Amino acid sequence: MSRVDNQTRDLAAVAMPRRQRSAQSIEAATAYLFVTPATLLLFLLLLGPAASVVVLSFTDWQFGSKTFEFIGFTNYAEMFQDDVFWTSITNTLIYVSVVVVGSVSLGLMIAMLIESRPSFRRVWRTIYFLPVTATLVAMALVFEYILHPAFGPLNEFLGLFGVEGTNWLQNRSTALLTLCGIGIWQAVGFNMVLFLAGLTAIPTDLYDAVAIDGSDSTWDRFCVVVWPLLGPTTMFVVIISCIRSFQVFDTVKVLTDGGPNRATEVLLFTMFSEGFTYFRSGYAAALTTIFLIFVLILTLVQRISIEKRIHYG
Amino acid sequence: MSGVTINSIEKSFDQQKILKNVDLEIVDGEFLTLIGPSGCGKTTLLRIIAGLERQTAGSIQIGGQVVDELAPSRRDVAMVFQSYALYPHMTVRENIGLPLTIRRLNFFRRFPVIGRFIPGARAIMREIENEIQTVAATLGLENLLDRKPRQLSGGQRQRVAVGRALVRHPKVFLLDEPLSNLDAALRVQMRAEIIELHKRIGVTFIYVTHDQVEAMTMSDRVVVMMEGDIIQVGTPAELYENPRFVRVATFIGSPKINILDGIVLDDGSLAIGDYVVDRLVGHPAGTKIQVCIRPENIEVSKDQHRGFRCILQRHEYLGSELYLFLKPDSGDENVIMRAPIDQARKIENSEIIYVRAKEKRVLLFDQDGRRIEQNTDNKQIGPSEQHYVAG
Repeated sequence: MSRVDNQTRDLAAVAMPRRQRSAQSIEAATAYLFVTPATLLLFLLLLGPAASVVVLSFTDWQFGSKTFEFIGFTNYAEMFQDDVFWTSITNTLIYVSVVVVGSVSLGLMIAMLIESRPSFRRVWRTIYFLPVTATLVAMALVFEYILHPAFGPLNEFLGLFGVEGTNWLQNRSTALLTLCGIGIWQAVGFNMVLFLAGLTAIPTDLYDAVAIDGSDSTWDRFCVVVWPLLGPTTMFVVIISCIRSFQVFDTVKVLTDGGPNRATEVLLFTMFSEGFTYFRSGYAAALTTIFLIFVLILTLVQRISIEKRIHYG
Repeated sequence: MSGVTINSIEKSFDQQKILKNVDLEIVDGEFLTLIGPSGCGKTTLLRIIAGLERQTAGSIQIGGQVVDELAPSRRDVAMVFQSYALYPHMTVRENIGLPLTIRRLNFFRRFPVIGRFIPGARAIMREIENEIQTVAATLGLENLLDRKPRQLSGGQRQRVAVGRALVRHPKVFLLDEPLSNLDAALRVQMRAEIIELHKRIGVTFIYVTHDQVEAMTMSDRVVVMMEGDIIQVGTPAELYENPRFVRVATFIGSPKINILDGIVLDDGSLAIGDYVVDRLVGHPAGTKIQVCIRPENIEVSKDQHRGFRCILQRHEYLGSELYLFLKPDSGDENVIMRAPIDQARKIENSEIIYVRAKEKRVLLFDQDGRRIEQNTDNKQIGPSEQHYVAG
């Protein structure tokens, strides 16, 4: 009897883990089942389109045609030999650097001014945030009027000081910078809001500590406390501003149409004209791939910097 | 030479008066504690002394010099904050050294990398490094100098904050609830360290806390503040034994002092219910008196006529002593009695006992909470020989 007893016990001992194992695998299967819809949508809506753009960039497909052939790196070779592409890249980089530097520093300055004055804080915040919410295409009309060479208020204002304005949007040397100005105007509010959030996260005790430790000037306080502690925010703001200004298109399309003489030709505009004006979809896809690579690099920089360094516990 | 004089300081935020005409003389080298419930203005007063807040009226002198117009950095005071307020992006070394670098190196010499090549910068930096080392050695921080604040425990952060204050050799140390973010064991240890530090450097310490244990154990003198006023200044013993207001009596001491409703009888004796506590001169019959007895000044009385009737509701056992929670028949609030273990243990819950105040250990306050001075020869009424035996 005791032997039988032992046997059953042994059997039970073996069976238990097996039952556990099957329970585990059921749990795993359920987990995969739950994840499936999200994964499918992720591939369908985000990764799929990006991948198909990359694939298309190796073809000669034209929009509307039923067939296409793989032509390897021909699109890229053509692109790198094309002056328009290089003009476009240069213009985009100039635009990005001017707008990022301008909107980040102005955004920080305005945020600090608003933060230092308790009165009307909300009003100021709303006013500076307005351009972010405004539709740029609609606002472009206003800018076209302001910048008009004959009756625009800007030139009239400059005339008061005896300065002769120019046809801002049609002058090769001012067109791109004028668009930069509009870009800054639009981005400042957004950056300001992010900086305001960063500023409120700085403990007020630190300002007190630095006041007692010997800083008499606002500049000392900025160097010792504000700037270092805003590090994570600044990094985020810079990356976001970079990505957003890489995507500049609407002002170019509406105000200058890439002109005069390609002075405001930017990456997205080139992509647009190749893809939707000349229907060279394969070539446009190659341009898009370049654009994606830029954005990807920026995103990676942001991820790495957030994980590695600028985080104070 | 570095006492602090506070002259009729007032402070209002909007319409609200936070400090009402505060006067205080703080002696050079003294350890003075400002204590009071939250919102009593103690931290505001400290911040006004530091110069972080500007008073509405009045004047502050530090070491005989009026400092009202001086920026915080020029008042020669150092402050330790409740949150420690360490610069999170700097190492311990940089945190401690900051008051020196910011004072002795100008902007260009402080500039990263390039700064050290400007003539004179290196010598100053070496000097600062030496001073940092000295302070770190005093506080046992030598091995932590290259760490960032987030890599430190609460006690270590606190020590770094003290180090940053210490490195400048200030005239006055201001401490704003420096221990309240620490756990209980660490608090006891840091308390000892701060007392030790005060003894060693001998400068004036002004310490803000809401913890009466800290106030009682650390201070030379304690200032009790309530609702923007100083209501009593004295040594810890004076405050405990001789509170001038019932508010002070209840605020200081744990467990809380017992307050019972007494009434003056026709023969001039003061009674709680049937229990005659004391004799009072100069108070008409019927005057209501607040009779306050500290828990350790209550004892059990076997004689029914020499005490008031209570029901024991529950015990609290603390190892070295016992708290008895008694419900008086008179309808007063629960009375807490602190008793030696061996005596009080035998009393069962819901048992009826008679308790009484120890001789000359009763504090009397009028209905407005002001102290009533008792006659020096006040005695318990009745026969002097008592045979009250506890439990």
